[in-house]
Amino acid sequence: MVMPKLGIRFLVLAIAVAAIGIFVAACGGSSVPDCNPGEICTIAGTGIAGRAPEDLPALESDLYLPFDVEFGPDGRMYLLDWNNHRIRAFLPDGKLETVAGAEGLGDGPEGPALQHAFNHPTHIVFDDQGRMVIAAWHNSRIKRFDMKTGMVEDIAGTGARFYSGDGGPAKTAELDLPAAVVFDKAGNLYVMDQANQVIRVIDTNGIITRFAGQCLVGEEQGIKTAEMLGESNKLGWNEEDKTSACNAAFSGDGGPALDARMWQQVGQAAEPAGGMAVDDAGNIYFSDSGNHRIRKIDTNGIVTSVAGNGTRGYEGDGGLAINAQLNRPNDIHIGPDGTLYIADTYNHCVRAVGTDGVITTAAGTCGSRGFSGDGGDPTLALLDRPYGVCVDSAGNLYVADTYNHRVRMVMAAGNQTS
Amino acid sequence: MKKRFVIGILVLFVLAAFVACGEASTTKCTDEPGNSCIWAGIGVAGLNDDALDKTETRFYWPIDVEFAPDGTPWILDWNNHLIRKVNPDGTVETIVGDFVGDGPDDVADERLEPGLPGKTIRLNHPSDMVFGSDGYIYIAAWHNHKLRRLDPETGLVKLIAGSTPGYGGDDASLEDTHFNQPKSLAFDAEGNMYVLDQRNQRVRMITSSGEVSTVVGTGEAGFSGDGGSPSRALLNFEAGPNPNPSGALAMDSNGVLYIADGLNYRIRRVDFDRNVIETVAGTGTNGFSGDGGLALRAQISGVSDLEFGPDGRLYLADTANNCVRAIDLETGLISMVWDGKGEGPGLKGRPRFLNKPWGIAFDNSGHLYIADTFNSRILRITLAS
Repeated sequence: MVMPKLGIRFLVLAIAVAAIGIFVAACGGSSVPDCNPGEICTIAGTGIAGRAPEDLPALESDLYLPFDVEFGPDGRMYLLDWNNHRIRAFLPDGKLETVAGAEGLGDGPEGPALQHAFNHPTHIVFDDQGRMVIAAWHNSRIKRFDMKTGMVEDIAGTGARFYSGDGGPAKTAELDLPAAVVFDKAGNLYVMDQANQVIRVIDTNGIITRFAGQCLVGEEQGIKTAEMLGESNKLGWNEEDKTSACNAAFSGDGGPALDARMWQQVGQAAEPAGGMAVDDAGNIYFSDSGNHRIRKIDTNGIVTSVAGNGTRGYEGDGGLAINAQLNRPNDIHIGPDGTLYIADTYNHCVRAVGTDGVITTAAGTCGSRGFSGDGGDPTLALLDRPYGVCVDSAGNLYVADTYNHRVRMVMAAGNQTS
Repeated sequence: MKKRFVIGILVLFVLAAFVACGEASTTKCTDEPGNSCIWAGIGVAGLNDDALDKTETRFYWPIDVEFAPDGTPWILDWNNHLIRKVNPDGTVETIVGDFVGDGPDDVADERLEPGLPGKTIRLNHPSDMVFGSDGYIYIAAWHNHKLRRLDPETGLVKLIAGSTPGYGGDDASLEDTHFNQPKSLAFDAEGNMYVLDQRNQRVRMITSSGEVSTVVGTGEAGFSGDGGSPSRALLNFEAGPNPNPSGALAMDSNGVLYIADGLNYRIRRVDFDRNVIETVAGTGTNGFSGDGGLALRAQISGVSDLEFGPDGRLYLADTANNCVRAIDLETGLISMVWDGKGEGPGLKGRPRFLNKPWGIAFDNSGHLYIADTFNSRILRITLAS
């Protein structure tokens, strides 16, 4: 009589354990990032491409091709949930909240941020008033989100994919796939105008000019103008008009940035390209993605290459960055110690260039694609086409592991889980 | 007693787990009149693996369902940029697409017969597909500004029309004809294909020998021309750099073309034999009104799909009104078909209301399917006959 009783109790216990197992499995498991100093871990995303509802922990929230994370002046981390066409914030309780973006994709209208549709936002930066400036890439506009009022407004671009407007108000100028935005200390806003093969700058009066690169069309050696493109302009916007796209090239190192040429993707099937960063001294860095280089424009306007020898590949760790190979780099970020971090997208890794000019790998296994390695050495982990990098003031590295639909973190050695 | 209590708690616990996770299927598709069910999708936007049952498959804003002449259902998985097929065992298989893009790595290869494997052809927001009498499936690759042809037997895809976006006249070869976000397709009995060329504000016709012409619209957006020649009439579809898919076409058995004229908030009808265009529904004012009355006095909002039902009525995906309505073309009366309200068996435990249904379809048995786009699911409704 004793044994059967024990048996039933055991059975009940076993069912209970199984039920809890089912519950955990069905609901997605742990929601707290488990990261130790020096290790890589996942801090957001489930690995499934999707559009998560609100109010879920970041680790239970599906993302869809997350593109970048950036810290705001409010200390919060913001996530560009690229193919969900929205911007989300990490809340102190570990949940994600959408701060900008409407239900569908689209363009606007200007007004409340949660009713404002975006089309593939790629990058954000914050101005000295704490407002979020957004590279609304497929909108071909720059938008500004005032988090105090909750309102979004358009500040550059008309929505048409074209090149026009230098010397006039940014709001009436035309851009073609603006992929990245950075401010200098004077408050000038630099825009990677990807498919126009130029960087443009918007001064504090809202006037836009060309800052670097040239848009040369066909064999014509001159800046593309609306008049030059009059014929193709009849076809609507310059959108994806390959015959009149600004030509990609590589030239100009050692000379004025305005004379240089770069190679960013153009056309209908273009992927975002051409990340930017600015250092404390005011030098502007940009990814010349198609040339597999990172280039620097100093405060005298002279451009040089600082990483990548122009050959596509992943050789060169331990040597000088200018002799190393990159593979379609995108976002770049300068850490608190001056280290330049590079999302070496098609190498599936993050590279780091120290102030001594030596390049190493900070996360991922360059040349190998996949998902693995959480809880271990970040350079043994696998990533899949990471587009975004960010470093916080403590030196923790954040990676938008784009095609894994996750955000990964490499905790700085010596830090504790926050 | 104690044991029963413990088991009771366990049962509750497991039930709670299912409710909390929202993954349990509590809806069933039946032929009981009024039955509504989730036929495909889980109601959460996303992309998971192929070969799952359609009720476990995630879609991202599915824009339409189409049934092939052999009864095979096809799903236009709009924001996953995929064309997907439902196999006889209920599993979903991707046939065309690979994330977002435009064609194969080398675009010239797609122009050659017999085409390339569908999964090497990237799409950008496919919006419609029609089944040709030649056995091919024709795809409106909306954001690619192109028309593509799928051979369902071989899975090969070939570019048949379109290059860069714009309007370059009707004189070029079919391959080099420019379209600007072709949204909707329809065939007539002679094998002519009609293309709603959204941002060009036109309806264009492609003959079976590949000649292109504009049959409705002038290129200018607006409203005019009722009672006159369709080639002088104005249509009005969403334009600008980031429009939503707008408008729809449907062809009746007499060769009369029906056009959901998006921003004119009207349904228009083109009788090519008489060379006349006219309005059959909508007042021109955006809104919701008029059920039970004349369709001409009713307000509609952003109709994005038209289908003829088994009862001969013209069904509308009245997208921005979040409902499906139907017009009896003999009496001219419009009525509600499904808006998620009311009594009857249905979506137990699931949201009943539609969220921007962009597409509708009927299978060979006459069930109504609704692409409940922003809910990322497809509903099946058994209509009361």
